[in-house]
Amino acid sequence: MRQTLIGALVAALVCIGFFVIEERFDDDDAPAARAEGVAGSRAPISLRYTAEPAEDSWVAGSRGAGADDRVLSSAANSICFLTKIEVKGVQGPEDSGTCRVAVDEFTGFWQVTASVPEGSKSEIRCNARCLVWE
Amino acid sequence: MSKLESLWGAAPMVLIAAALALPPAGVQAHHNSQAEFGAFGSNTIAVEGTIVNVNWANPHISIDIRTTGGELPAGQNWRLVSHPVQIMNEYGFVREEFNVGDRVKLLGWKNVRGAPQIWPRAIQVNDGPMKSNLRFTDMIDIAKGVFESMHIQPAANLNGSPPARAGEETVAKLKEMGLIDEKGLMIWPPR
Repeated sequence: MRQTLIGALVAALVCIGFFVIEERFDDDDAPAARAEGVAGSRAPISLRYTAEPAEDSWVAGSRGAGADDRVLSSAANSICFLTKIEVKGVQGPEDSGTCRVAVDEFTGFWQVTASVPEGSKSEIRCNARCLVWE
Repeated sequence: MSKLESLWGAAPMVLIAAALALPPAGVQAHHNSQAEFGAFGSNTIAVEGTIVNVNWANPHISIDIRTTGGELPAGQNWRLVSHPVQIMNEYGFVREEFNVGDRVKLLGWKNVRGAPQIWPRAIQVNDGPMKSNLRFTDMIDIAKGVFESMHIQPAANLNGSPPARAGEETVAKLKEMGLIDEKGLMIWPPR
């Protein structure tokens, strides 16, 4: 009797597992169908891309190390990407520099940052654009 | 939809993304605050807040504040961005003046692209003086005849500064007011 109950329980769990897997992987058209279903009741999303900031973020290691940033757009409705990386003045392996696009947690905005570490004489310029949805 | 169809459908997006990534011809000047915050002579806003972080480093210092009043809603996060360290020192500011928790009042320009950044025209910490952060704007306001009524302590290096960046009209007016010496440099306070 006990073995029968355990067997039934295992069988039930296996059935639930198969059901979950089937829902997840065997229903390719479902998201599209759902999207079509709501299309009539929602305004379409508008996409646009931003201009680059008028000035690059820029640090010249020959003048001193540091990080310079340009604020881009709100992280709530955009994603940003590097559009420019320009490196000059590299004489050796110590002359490094970084371009980075990241969300600034304080402002909630994307920003593009050029940075040159201590000891590097390189000059680095970076810029970025963003894809914004509204 | 097959995987091949999905990939084919994505091809135009890849092309669009590549096109967006092409660098446009643009202005390459560096550290021109007017490109990001408007002209020196444009209207400022008044803001009050509390300092939550100070980044006193090159190539620009920055001070994060949480607003408490003025012309911005209270409780917002804004970043004050300004000159390199050496220029801040020449203007009469030192790192030790700014500490987390201090109250600040300031006049400044908002970022023209809508980012939560302000370039300060003048800053007051706690109950200290409202100190100018821009000598060329001091010159513009002196030439307009409004500076003294603003009760701003002028930039520490205002006297003896070359005025050209304040604009031809301002320089002409300052000459007329007797505030440019024989070497073409600013005289302040008036003799």
